[in-house]
Amino acid sequence: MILPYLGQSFKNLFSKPVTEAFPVGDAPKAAEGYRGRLHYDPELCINCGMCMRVCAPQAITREIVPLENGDQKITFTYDMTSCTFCRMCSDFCAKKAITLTDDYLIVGSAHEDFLVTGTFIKTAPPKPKFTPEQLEAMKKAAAAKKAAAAAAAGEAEKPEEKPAAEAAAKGEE
Amino acid sequence: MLQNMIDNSMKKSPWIFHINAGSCNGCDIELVSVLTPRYDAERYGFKLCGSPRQADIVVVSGPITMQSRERLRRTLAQVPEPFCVVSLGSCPRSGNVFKGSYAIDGPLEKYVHVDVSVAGCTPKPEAIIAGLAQAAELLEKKRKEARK
Amino acid sequence: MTNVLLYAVHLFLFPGLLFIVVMGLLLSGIDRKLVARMQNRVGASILQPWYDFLKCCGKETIIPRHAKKGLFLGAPVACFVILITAALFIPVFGGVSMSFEGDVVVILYLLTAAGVAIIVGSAASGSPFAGVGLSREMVAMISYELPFVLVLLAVGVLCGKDTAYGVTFSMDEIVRWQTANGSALLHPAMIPAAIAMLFVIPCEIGMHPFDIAEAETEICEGTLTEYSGAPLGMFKLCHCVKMYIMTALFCALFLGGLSTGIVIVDALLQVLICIVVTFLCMTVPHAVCARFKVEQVFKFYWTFVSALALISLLLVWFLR
Repeated sequence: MILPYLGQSFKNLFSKPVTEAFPVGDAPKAAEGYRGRLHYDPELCINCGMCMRVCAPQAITREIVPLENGDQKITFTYDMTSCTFCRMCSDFCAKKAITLTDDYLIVGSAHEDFLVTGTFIKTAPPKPKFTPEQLEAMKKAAAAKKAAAAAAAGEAEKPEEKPAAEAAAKGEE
Repeated sequence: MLQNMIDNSMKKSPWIFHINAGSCNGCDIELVSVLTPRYDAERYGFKLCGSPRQADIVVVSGPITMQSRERLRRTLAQVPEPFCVVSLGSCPRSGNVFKGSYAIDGPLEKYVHVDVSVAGCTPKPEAIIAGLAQAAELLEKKRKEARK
Repeated sequence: MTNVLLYAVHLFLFPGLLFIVVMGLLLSGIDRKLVARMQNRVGASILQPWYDFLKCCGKETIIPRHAKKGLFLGAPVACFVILITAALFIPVFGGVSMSFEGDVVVILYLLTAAGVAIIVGSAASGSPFAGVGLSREMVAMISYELPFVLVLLAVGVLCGKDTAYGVTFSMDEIVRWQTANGSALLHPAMIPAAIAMLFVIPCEIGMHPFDIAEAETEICEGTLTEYSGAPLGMFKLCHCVKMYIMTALFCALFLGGLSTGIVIVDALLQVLICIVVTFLCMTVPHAVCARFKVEQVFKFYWTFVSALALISLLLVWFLR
């Protein structure tokens, strides 16, 4: 047949169009497993930096601001205008802090519309009881004590060697 | 009154011109699919035109490669006012995975003010329609500002 | 004084400017809507060509550095004026606004002149794409001109049997003959010519399967490459107006003499028939076919369509 679509086109003329009504109504749902706008949960993040290492387009930036009490304010920024939506960051995230949602309407004029950011405060580890100088002094004291004990034991066939070593270990803790 | 009618029709018949500045063809295919029966952007008056002289919305896809840079600049200079620039996909805004390559001279912001960006790699046709509709609204606004 | 007033009304209102512009935009809008529906889409609103024209008027007009400014800007206006003049000779049901012996030839020339105006405008723009476009436009013109002339001859021979020369080139005479003897389409010998005319119409207008001159995907809109702003809108309007002129010409040549005598009913009938003809000869090929190649168009018109028109002419010539 010379005009294979003639019949179909006349059939279409009297049938309902297949066009989606989208910009008027709600956006249709994306397919299962669609990789859309990234979602970042700062509560779960441990600042390992793995996502930054695996990101091919270098869309992830991290800002670390030290606070006065020794804590760190860490901000991750995911730039959606730079992202390729490959899900490598999500796959490599040990704490599952990054997920890719099915929101595909990433449209805007300003650059801020495309940034996904999250901030968390990384508290500093608890301070050690003794400073390194104190530890050094304690070590020296323990060594001196040991030497004194050894000298004493030389006379009394070294009966107090073990307790002295235990004391030194305690001092280090 | 005639001027108001012209303003009003500005957003009702935006003609699209598409520049491929080194794109991988993913965004280009999605842009064409916007005109297919399923998404049918023509019901809002969108039409793909062949010459930049007739364009209202210039859609740029692809990171700006060294080879396409000069053509991009010359094409953009030929578009009559008022017009909008829409960047399609991640590439024109940032370079995407090609960022830092010796063959890339992006981003698009260096050459022209980008009015609307549609992010995604590639964006879904629905997102492209939403972006183009936003650009069409901007066209009317631009025309009104130019009149004042 | 009344004569001048009548001419002014003819020129600006009824068969002239206002009427053909409104009709052209309406036909173009309906055509777009129907194409969309045949392709299973919603499609633009029927007012879309009107919006397109207004928008073009609101855009900046760029004149290329290599263009001849006068010709470049004059061509669209010339094209539009020529088409309005042509519309004055085409009868709306119930009468011809201007008629004299030989106005069919004038219509033929004016329609060609409108095509030439497009060619001149694109040649003046100095763009290589426009150069390719205008050469294609010429091929299209040569293609449809032969069957077009044959169709006009066939109708002329049919309606001019009783005249001194045996052939008539007067629109008035054609309409009068059809009023007396029934529409030309009712004569079996004219059916091939009517089909040929239906093929001539889309190529004359440059509608989709035959729009080799304005192939936007191959040669950047071809003849219209450098046009922007108001001149572009003018050409788009000419395109719409041509749709009305050609369909009205079809009505006059093949369906003349259906007049009921009431002006409103006649005008509505004309509109209806124009829409049906538009649907048959433009919408269906647009929705169903892909664009032809240049040599395909030429071959198609000089073999198939010309043969149809020639059969009609010979039948009419020998059977009278």
